[in-house]
Amino acid sequence: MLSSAAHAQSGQCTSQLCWQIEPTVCVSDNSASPCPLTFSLHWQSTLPAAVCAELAGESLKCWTNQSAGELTHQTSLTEPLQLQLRINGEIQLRQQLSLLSRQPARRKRLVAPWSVF
Amino acid sequence: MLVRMIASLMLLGLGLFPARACEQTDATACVATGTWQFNLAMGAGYRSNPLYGGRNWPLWLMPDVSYYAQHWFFDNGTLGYTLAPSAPVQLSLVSRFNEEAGYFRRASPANLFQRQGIASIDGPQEKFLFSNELKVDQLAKRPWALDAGLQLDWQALGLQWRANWWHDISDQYRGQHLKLGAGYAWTNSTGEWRLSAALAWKDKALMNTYYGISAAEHNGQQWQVSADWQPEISWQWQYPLNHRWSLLSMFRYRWINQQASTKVITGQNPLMQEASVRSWFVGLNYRFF
Repeated sequence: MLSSAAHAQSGQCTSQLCWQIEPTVCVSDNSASPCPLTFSLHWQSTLPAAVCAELAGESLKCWTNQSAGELTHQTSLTEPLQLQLRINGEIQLRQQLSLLSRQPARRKRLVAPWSVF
Repeated sequence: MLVRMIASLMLLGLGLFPARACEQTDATACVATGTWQFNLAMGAGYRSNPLYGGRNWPLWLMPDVSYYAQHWFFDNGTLGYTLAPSAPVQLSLVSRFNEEAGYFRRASPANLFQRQGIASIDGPQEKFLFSNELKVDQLAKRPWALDAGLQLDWQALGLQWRANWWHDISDQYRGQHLKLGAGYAWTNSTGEWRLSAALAWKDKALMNTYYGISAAEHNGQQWQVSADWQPEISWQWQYPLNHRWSLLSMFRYRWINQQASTKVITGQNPLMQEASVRSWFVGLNYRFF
């Protein structure tokens, strides 16, 4: 089953914190199956702080009294997930990891075939 | 009371099992959006006509045409708009031609996909007529009408349920009809099977417009028809031969009421010879796209 990560890099900054995430989009051939994604995250702060990275509410990695950090994480997407960066306990930055499929969306037929007859 | 009963059945079905998403392997029930789907069934079959003088329709060529966008869809003569296509319970606004007029004329919009070219293999197309009955050709023209309404689709108890409410928006019969159906589909080494059952209710206004008889049509005697319950069962079998061709077989049996009444008596409607409508087909299906 083929999947690929679109080379979409995302960078955001607040007044004291910046981060870059690559990639942020996972592309699969098959919309029905999970999409494996390995992403890297880099952050920099103007002052040393306690920083934690979270994915869908679960903590990935925390840094104590640091002004920069990075991580690489492997996940499998079945739906879009929210990546968050907390500084001193408060959420400062958010980024959505998106899911796309090469296969067109499918719908349930709402009329039985040949029902006219 | 009827609406309350149907609503209770729907709530019972909704509370039991979560609906499953459109699965990739469910090829006959799921279609890709944004692209036309066209199948053509070729073989032998017929649809019966319950009316005196009515012609049975040979079914030797049957198209299956559909297009599904994100919300809009066109499927075998039904135009619709689904409010939340990804929801487990799907509510759609729908519209289509009413099928009743199809029994009275050969070129009705309800028969757009029909072909008349060979004699029915089920026997004579014209039915034998007794003097007390009314032939279709002797009646005033019955109108073709445009229906619109709501459709609810959901899954529960392992069955696919569908409820429809239709009413006349073309001011022809000025009535309404309802339908509740359930179907079960399964696939194994013998092919893809689908069993369905449904119950339709057609109001007095609809039934009288098409099956009522005016005094001018029948020796000064007017026949009134009451609202009608019409149960039906159907099955479909398909066996893929390759990615384009498949064997196809279908059958449907619908019960209809033959009763009508004048001011004096109640008896068999002079217009209706049979108390059922039957369709069957055996042949091949080719998937163009």
